[in-house]
Amino acid sequence: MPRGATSSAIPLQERSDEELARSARAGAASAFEALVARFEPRLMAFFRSRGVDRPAAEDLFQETVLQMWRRFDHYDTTRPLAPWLFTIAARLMIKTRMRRQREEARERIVGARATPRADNPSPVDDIAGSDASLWRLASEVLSPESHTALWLRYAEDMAPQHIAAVLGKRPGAVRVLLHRARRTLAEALTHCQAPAPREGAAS
Amino acid sequence: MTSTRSLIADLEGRLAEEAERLVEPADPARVARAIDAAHSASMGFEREPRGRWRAALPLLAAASLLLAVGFLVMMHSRPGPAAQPSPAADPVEQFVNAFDGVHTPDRLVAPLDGVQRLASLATPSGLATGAQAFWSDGVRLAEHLPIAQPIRLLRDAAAALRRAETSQPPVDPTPAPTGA
Repeated sequence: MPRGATSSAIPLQERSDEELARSARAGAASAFEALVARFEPRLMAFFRSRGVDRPAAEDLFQETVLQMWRRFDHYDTTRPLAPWLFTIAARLMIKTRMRRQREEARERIVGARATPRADNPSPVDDIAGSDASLWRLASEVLSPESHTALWLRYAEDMAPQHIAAVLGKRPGAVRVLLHRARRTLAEALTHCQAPAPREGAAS
Repeated sequence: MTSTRSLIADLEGRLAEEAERLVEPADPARVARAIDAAHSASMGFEREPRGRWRAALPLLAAASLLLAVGFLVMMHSRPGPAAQPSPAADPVEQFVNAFDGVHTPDRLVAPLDGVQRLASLATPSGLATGAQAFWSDGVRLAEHLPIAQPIRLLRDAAAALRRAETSQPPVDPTPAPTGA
């Protein structure tokens, strides 16, 4: 196990993700902190792109960091770090979403939530203020899986084989998924650009 | 179709561009909070979890071996049917034996584990016999014992026995007249 093999002479900022991960695994707290700081904007953007509001995105980010810390021994240092980390993030997001759906269903059954709460805007509303209308549309018309694939491809510039690792699919399936996602989004976009745009009419 | 293709080509550029805009500047406070949360939530796993477990493996192996040996010794030290034929192997007898001395206040603590274990194994008749052994002082002391369930069972069994005994018709103490 090439633990702690990186040269400590190289400043943390200049080390690759994988080198930092190796050092962090060997117990270097500063390397771990550098990694967290490096991935923070990317992970937050990933969560936000899926319409997660800011406080919830921060919770997810914290949970991702915790899982990364706990599971470092499962990380294969010969492979890129980002797909591994985004796998954790994507799974956490799915888990959180499912939990929220269960809670909402329970609330509906109990009747505690007859009308939508004004303090809990829909995911689409939450990123509506940002300058990312295309991602807003994507969160409306694409499945979570397609959305994740698209984000990893265009925001993270991840290769299909790495996206496949994140989604637990084969690279070929990911290419098809990406192709369909692009086509769906393009079609939705043409609908939106029609003379009388309607809200949420893109499905 | 052609327009869709050109739209898709345009889309790819826009997706990357808009994704960049969604990426906000790093927030050091958020980073610090996440790191603190990770450290505080993973106490005991701070560094090299695999190394730690690896280091603990010999200890775990030794503990398992000791347990196995202890179990074997215990099994061999138990009176087998051949060594001590009928009464000692009887769970009722074991139960009664386990209660020997329990009602002596200075010996209350030691046999508690055995009592608890045996009480859970005992048959109703065993429980009743144990209750007889536990009769007078034991029932009173049982109120102060920390092991609620077996003692409660025992107390109930003792009470039932007492009730049964008091409800029996009194035996005439005078000797029966003999003929002739």
